[in-house]
Amino acid sequence: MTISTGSPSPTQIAPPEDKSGAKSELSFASKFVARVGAQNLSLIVALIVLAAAIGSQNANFFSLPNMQVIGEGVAILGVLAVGQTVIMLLGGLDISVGSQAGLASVVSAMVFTSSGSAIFGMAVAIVVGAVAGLVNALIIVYGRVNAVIATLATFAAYRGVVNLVSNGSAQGYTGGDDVFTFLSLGKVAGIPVLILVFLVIAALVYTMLTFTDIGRNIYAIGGNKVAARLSGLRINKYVIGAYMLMGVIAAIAGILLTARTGSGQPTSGSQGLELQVITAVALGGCALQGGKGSIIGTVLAVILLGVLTNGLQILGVNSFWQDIAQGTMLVIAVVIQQRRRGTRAVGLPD
Amino acid sequence: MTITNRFQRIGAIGAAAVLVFSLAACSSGQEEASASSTDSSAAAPAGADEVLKITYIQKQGDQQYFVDEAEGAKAQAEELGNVEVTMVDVGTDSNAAITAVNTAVAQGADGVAIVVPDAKIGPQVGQILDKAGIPYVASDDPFELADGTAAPWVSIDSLTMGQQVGEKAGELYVAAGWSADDTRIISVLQEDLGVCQDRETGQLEKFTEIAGETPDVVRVGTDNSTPTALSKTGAAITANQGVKHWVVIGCNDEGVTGSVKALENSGVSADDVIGVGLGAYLACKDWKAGVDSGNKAALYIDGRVDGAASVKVLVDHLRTGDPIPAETLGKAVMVDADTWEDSGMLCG
Repeated sequence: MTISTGSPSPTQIAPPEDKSGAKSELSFASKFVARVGAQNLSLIVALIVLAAAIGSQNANFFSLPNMQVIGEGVAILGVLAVGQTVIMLLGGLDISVGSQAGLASVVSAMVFTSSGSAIFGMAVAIVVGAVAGLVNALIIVYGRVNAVIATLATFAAYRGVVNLVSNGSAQGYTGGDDVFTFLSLGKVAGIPVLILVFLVIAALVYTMLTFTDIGRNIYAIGGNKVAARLSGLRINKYVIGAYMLMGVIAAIAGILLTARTGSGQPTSGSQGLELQVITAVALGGCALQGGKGSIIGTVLAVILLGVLTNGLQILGVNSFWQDIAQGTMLVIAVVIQQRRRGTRAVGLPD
Repeated sequence: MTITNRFQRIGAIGAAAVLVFSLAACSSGQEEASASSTDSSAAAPAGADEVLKITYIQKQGDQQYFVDEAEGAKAQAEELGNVEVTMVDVGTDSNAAITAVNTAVAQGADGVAIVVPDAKIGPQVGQILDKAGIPYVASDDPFELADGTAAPWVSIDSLTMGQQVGEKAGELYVAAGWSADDTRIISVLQEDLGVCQDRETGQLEKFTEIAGETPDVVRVGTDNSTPTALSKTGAAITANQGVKHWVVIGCNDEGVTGSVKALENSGVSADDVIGVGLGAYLACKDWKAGVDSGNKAALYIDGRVDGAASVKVLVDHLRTGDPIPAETLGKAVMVDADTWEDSGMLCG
């Protein structure tokens, strides 16, 4: 890995609005928007408005325990969304993330039950995750299969594998183990470990994307594959690496799921995660075409979704409305994204 | 490898901050896990004029049974007075269930009723609520706590439900005079759900006991919805040509009704089908319409009764200080085309 010398951050490279105008001519407001990013700013504003609206209806919303609940509730989703951001920046998509997390959850619990070692269980789960990611990448690269179709296939296949392995039922009991208990209930510096794992993974991936050549090349490949290839980048290597990274991150999410629920969950807890993950990443400003987006945007979007879910729940809003709200937010986010790209106002998307 | 000054600074500051904070406050989680249950029975009982907040966490809140359960819970709260019930649907998501329990704690709920998506999360649920000193009941599906004791429970368990269905199917099979040679049992269920597995076990056990034999079982794996049961049973019929009689059992009414409908669509006469549903909320539609149907009977479980009972035991406990009964049995009766109306069920 090469760490770059003073390379500009991806948000400075990718979004066109960041490049517009000479710096000296920018007003303070324009500078602020350029620095934070219009997408991130709109997410922060949405977050403030949403929190104010919910908080005005329920005094407990702003309480520390409730903030902790929101953070713990989105930790698994957040971890997966960070991995998916890398994939989408490359111009890919991984629909199998929920199935991979379920597989890792069951593997970690089963290996732990048979070996008695939580660390060994987690290590095996991470290896399984990396292999699952590698299989995805090999299908895409060497099978020359569209990423959506390839991961749609493995979404079903991995779910089948995990149900076969577990006979469709939750496996083991990890609630009595120190390591799993630390993951689910422990705190470091007063911050729940679940939230900390999410933040550490987000920080590591942010660092990779922002401060290393690897990150810059990921943006370059997602932005323009042909130009990236012509400039000598080995695109296949990046695709394989990104999907393996996604597999490892999905495995970590699966381990967190096991720790949180006290058992290896083949389906429950991971089914439907893929939709939430893609929603979060798209909402965070990641272009579906690749090359544009940031970890900060994704983290903000994950928090926004967590606040929305928590708020609607504590206000007693029917869960059907929660689904509608989530779907609506995704549509609005993508429409705004398309408008900002300056493509044709009407017609089929590119 | 070259590293920027900025990167070095960020890394150094970050590492130092993490180290300082880690040393300052670190918890293994064991204190939380082993925190003794607050003896809620020792707490002063709430007055009748004190508003009690009950959080009712349900799985699969879009299914008719759970819709009824929610209605029953709300109606009971209104009847008891000064009781607020917040319904939370977590689908089949165990992780969402844990989040919902944490949210109830953060919101200062006085009591929690929960239908766990998977009984395996019972110890985690108990741990969180015990630590917060919030009384709780397992609604519908029982679960055990970390020490192996059962949580207070309201309703009828999956195995018993399955046994009642299996018994009725066995009786109808014997009465029809069918034999195992030309009969197949279609068992339609979501195979990765523990409650469905328990129901199937009870159904087949009791069927065999009553019928004295077990025809070959064709397992149809679904997502517990009618459309999937319809399409997947179609394939099962194709694979079992020459079968004359069919017994259909399942995890819920959606599955059984879907399979029965698929058999009818493929030309099997209603007389050659014994469908025994679970819930009766879909089977009753055929009976209400007076059509000749393979839905011969169904176990009617009154969700409203279970929902109301869950709220009542919690409120009674909070207002009187009396312990929550270990078991509060709900209402489950076998109904058919002739008896469903007498059972008091409403068929929407």
